[in-house]
Amino acid sequence: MSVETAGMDDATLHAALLQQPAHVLFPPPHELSPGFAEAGWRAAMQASNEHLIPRALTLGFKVAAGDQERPENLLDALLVCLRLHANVLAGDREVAAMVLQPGVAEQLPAPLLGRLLDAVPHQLCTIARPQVEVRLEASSLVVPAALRAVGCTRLTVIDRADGDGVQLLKQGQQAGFTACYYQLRAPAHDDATFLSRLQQVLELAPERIVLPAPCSLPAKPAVADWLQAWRLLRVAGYQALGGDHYQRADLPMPLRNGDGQRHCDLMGVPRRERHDLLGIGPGACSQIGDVICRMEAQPAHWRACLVAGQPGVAAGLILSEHERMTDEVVQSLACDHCLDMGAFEWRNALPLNACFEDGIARIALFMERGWLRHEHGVLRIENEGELLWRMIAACFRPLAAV
Amino acid sequence: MTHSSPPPRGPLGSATPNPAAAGDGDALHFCSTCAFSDACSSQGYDKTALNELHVLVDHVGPYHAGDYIFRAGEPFDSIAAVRAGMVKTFVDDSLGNEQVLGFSLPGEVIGLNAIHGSRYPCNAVALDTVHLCRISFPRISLLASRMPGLQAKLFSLLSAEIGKAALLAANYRTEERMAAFLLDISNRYARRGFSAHRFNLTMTRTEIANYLRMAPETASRVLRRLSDEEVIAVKQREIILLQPERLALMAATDDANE
Repeated sequence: MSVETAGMDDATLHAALLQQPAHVLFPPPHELSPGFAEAGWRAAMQASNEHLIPRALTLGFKVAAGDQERPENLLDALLVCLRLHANVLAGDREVAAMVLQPGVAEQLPAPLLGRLLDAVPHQLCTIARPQVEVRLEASSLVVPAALRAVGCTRLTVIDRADGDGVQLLKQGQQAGFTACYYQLRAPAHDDATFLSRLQQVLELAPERIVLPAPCSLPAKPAVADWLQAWRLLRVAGYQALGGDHYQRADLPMPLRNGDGQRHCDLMGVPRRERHDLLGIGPGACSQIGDVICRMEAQPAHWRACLVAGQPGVAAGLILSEHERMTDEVVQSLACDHCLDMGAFEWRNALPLNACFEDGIARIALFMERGWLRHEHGVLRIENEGELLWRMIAACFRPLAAV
Repeated sequence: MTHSSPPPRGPLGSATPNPAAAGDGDALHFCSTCAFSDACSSQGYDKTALNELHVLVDHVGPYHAGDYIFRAGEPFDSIAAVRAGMVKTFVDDSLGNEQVLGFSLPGEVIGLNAIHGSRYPCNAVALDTVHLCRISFPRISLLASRMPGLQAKLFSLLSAEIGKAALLAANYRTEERMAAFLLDISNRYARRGFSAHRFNLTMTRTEIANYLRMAPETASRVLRRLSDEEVIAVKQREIILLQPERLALMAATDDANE
């Protein structure tokens, strides 16, 4: 399979890759206000109960790196936080997905992890078969089969130069996970095996491969390898699914028409429709409707809040009306790589040009380069624009942090 | 309708001259959402003529979500036509629980149920940013005595007010009530020139459920079922009627709120 190209030289693409903004989907963490109080979180939760058909829930479990707390105490704290969330949710709010962030499976032995997962349907409604995604660093010593045995359904292996991610992925595939993903990191210039690791991963053909995100770059990134990784994925038939996710060619692709339905959550996962994400654990982030909030990052502070009967909200942000519209545009471009301007205008009863006059002017450059096309009221990202979607989306969020 | 200058203040809130929303009328033309324009225009009255007849009509607002427009028990002296936004009317029962009486859309009139008793029998609250046309009831009554078209319009509005209870009076199934409710909103939007098949519901599911006398979870379940059967599509607050004819078959009555 050939890779679509707008004929741009590699040097330009390398420069563009490094210039991508890190936080374009959501406001950067430093914009969250510490003045956002527990009451703001509670109001957001109550408002989210009032949708005509309330959104499904994703639970994002998180632990602090290097937390020395005993695993049993850690489990108890996560369960208390889960219950505090459940207390303010309507009885029919359904959990559709759970994500165990890196470190959770290492700090909670499999039996305790099983107790955590078993507790969810006791506290909240769940759909018939909620997804349970567990994320492991390539250097993790956790055995994937043990995670599968306690109810995890999806495995994401996070690439590291010093870990055998390929072997971990292979173990995951043998353990019978319903899907296995492999997440790449931006390679360092001295990471000589990055592309060969990717070749080995491609031979294993995981359901998804996730391209590097620019939020954590090494001191000297190997930009040429980063670009080559995207090309290898495309040659192998992987198709852009939204965000940095690429899906294997034989799997059904969702309809991606830019109508604002699909949504990338705070963890960068593109979903068919928007969920409310509840972050549970120290430093975990939540998105509830138009509110984004973050829990206390210090484990001791967070646990003290739980003792006081509060989930430990440390900072938050309520999106303004314009930020909400920005979110719609950016999410469409990220998840569908296109934006149906008519659908936006109908939903908001405002012309896109009037809302984003400067943004519309900024995208002209990307159209000239062949990375973006305007056709029948739809903006469509094309060619290498697929790799650089953040830059295009950032035209509408000019304050996105680089 | 017209607005007087300077804008007065009264029980319906502080007046805001020429609010942007629905402010498409001018000295000789009515706002597009005006509840009385057809009645007055058909009689040959323009706004200047109405002014000469000393009809007191004020543009008031904006009211923001949650703002009270009037409260139960306050003296009644005027009715109000919604120019933009949505208004919820409700009463508190003996236990202090809210009972939703209805939702008023642009072009519709609130306060008509206060004529008897001369006090508002219910509360009215803005569900989003609301602009109103406040109309002195004694003066519009006087005007109606001279304008048969306006009088007929007033009688029609009063009749519709009485008919509002029909949807909730009988023991309809939850699906029938929801179907009738959606069709009713659709018809009301269509009458004002908005899309009949695609509209936003500003109210929360608890408010809709309260109005339809069902649990909020039931309201969502019914909406989800209608969505799964592709009778409607629900996107956050947006409703798209995909099969309005099927919805009409489900509805308990053709036009319960007429």
